[in-house]
Amino acid sequence: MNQFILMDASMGLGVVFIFGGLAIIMFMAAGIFMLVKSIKIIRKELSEQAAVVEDAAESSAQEGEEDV
Amino acid sequence: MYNLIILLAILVPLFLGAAFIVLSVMITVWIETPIILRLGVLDNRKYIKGVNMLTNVIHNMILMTIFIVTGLIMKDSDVLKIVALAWVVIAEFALIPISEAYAYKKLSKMEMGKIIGYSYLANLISFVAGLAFDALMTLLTIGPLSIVF
Repeated sequence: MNQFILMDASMGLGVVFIFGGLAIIMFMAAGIFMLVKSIKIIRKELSEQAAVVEDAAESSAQEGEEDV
Repeated sequence: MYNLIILLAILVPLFLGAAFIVLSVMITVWIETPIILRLGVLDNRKYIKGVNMLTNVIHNMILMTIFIVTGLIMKDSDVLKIVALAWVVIAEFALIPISEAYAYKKLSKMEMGKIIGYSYLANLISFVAGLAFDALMTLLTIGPLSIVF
C-alpha cells in the first residue's frame, strides 16, 4: 500500500516538475524574443533620430554656404 | 483522447509560461508609455515602448532566475524571499527608473532631473499596477487550487 502511495506521489511530483519546467522554458524563450525585439526597436529609433539630426546639420551648413 | 490530453499537458504550461511574461511586460508598457508621453518627456511612442519592454523583460527574467536558483536548487524559501525582495526593491526603485531616464535623455530635450523624476513616477504607478496583477493571478490560481486541495 505504501509503495503505491509513494509511486503516485513521485509521479505527481514528476508531472509538476515537467509542467513547471516547460512553463519556465517558454517564459525564458518569450523573454529572449521580447529582449531582441526591444533592442531592435531602440536601435532603429536612435539611428532614425541620428539621421534626422545629420540631415538638419547638413541643410543648415548648406544654407550657411549659400548665404556666404 | 489520450493523445489530446498529452498534447494539452504540453501546450498549456508552454502557453502559461509565455503568457505570464508577455502580460507582465505589456501591462507595464501599456501603463508607462502614455504617462511618459503625457508628461512631455518624449513624443516617440515606439522608443518609449522599446525602452520599457527592455527594462521589464530583463527584470522579469532575473526574477525568474532567482526563483529557479534559490527555490529549486537551494530549496530554501527564506533565502528565496529575501533575495527576491531585495532584487525587486533594487530594480524597481533604482535600476529601472534611472536606466530608463538615461535612455529617454538620448532623445529628449528635457532636463535630466525632471526626466528622472517623471521616470520614477511612471515606474511607481506601473509597480502598483504590477502588484495588483500579481495579486489577481495569485487569487485566480492559488485560490481555486486551494479549494480543490
